[in-house]
Amino acid sequence: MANRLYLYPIWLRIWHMINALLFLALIVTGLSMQYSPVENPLIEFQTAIAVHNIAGILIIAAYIIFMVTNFSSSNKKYYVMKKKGLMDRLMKQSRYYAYGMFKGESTPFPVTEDEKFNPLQKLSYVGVIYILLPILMITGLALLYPEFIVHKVFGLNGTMLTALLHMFMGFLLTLFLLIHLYFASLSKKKFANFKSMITGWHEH
Amino acid sequence: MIKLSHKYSLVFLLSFAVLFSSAQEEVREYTNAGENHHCLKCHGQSFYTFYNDWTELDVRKIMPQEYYVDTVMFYSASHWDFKCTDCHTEDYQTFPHDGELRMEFLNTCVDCHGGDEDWEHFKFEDIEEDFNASVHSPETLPNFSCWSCHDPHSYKLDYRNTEDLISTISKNNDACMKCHNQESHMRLHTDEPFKDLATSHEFLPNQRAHYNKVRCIECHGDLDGEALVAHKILPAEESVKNCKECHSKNSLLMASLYKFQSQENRKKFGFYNASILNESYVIGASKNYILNVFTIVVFALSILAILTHAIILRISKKKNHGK
Repeated sequence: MANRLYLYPIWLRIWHMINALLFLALIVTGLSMQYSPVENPLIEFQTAIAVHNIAGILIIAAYIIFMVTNFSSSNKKYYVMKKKGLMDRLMKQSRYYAYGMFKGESTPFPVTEDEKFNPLQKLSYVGVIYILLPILMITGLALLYPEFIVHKVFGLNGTMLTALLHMFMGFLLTLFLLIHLYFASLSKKKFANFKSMITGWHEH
Repeated sequence: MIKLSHKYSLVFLLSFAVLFSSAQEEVREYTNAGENHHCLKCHGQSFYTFYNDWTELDVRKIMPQEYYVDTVMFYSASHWDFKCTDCHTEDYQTFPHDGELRMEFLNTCVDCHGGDEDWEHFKFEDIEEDFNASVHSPETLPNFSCWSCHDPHSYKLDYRNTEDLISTISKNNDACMKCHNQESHMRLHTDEPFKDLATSHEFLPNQRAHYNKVRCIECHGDLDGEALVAHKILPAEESVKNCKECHSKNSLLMASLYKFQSQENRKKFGFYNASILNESYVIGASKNYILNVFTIVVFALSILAILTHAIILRISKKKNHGK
């Protein structure tokens, strides 16, 4: 039993699951609108727009609920970055991923009740939750109500800049998802990390 | 000190000269302004006054909207140097006007511009052909003429102005909205049920954005016609309702709204339909080629990096087990 830690409370798991499903819907519809040819689209243009809009609004609602719950619970402590020695910790973790883990070394920052993320993981989560996601959501909302977008920004079309920023944030977050899934698969026991996001228990 | 003031006075004189010369270019000689004043002293105001011989009193009356001419707009419009009596009968020079004068025949565009080589590039004959095949054709709406949309007293050739597209779009759409958004005006032409625009265009997401950024004729005009600006207005059921017609790389907007823009250059910053971007962003049409390629390449490289990591990890695990 000592090898088990209850790290993911039920609200977090539900949010994570909803967030994942909505994000997948947004990626697929977003990709269809951005890349697939209109003559032969991956998803019919009007359907893609409708699904993208609805999923976008829902993911914003889920994000607000997550933020409120996170800040009113002890979970917020996992997203606090300590500046002191940050670079060393990041280097240590990077070295482990790039070299140590191939040598069979054990992880330099094992999961504990006080620290469930390794430094690289924490940096990426903080970046995603506090920077990339808000930009993605604000630009997405702006595109939903383009009448509020500034018409010209330094002589450039405001809506175009908003759309480019939205698309680029979407791209970065899709990249994050890819890397997130890969690192989640790197557990000692097969699928252990995926299981813990269902049961709530982290197994060492 | 004296030198400085000389310098300044020279600059002042030069700038005055530049101002004066540029102002000179814009000066128009209004040869008929004096004669037109007889009409505009009443028709150019919202109130007019006349002396009533019967009651021997000065009378003040409201000038009905349809007989009112905005003087400022008139003198800056395309027909700015016209005499009122170039188009209206000279009998109007007497007051009170004879009631029968209201029956006068009024010329439309082709009556003056048709067959004239000087105006050939405006393709008036093609406009007439388009108009006759339009839902507004005289056959369908006998009371409808060029003047139903284009007020001859204020019409300016700015329907093709691409410098301030948003204002051009607004002016264009105002012509349609005059009737289609006002039942009283619509009734001048038809008894058909008046359709509420917001309801009939419910399928459009962001209606407001569409009304501000594109002209009604983008979807309701037949772009196959020869006229420079579509004058064959299509029935509702034949109008564009498919988003993809505009929201695609081959956006129809390039053949209509942006037809008069400078030659489109797809390579400009890697944007498709780059000229649209000057004024608008059309989802689906405003794609950036460079950004698309960049993101695909970075994504592919990331997958490659992950695969390499996974393979090395697998090999090293086997190796470590072997030890």
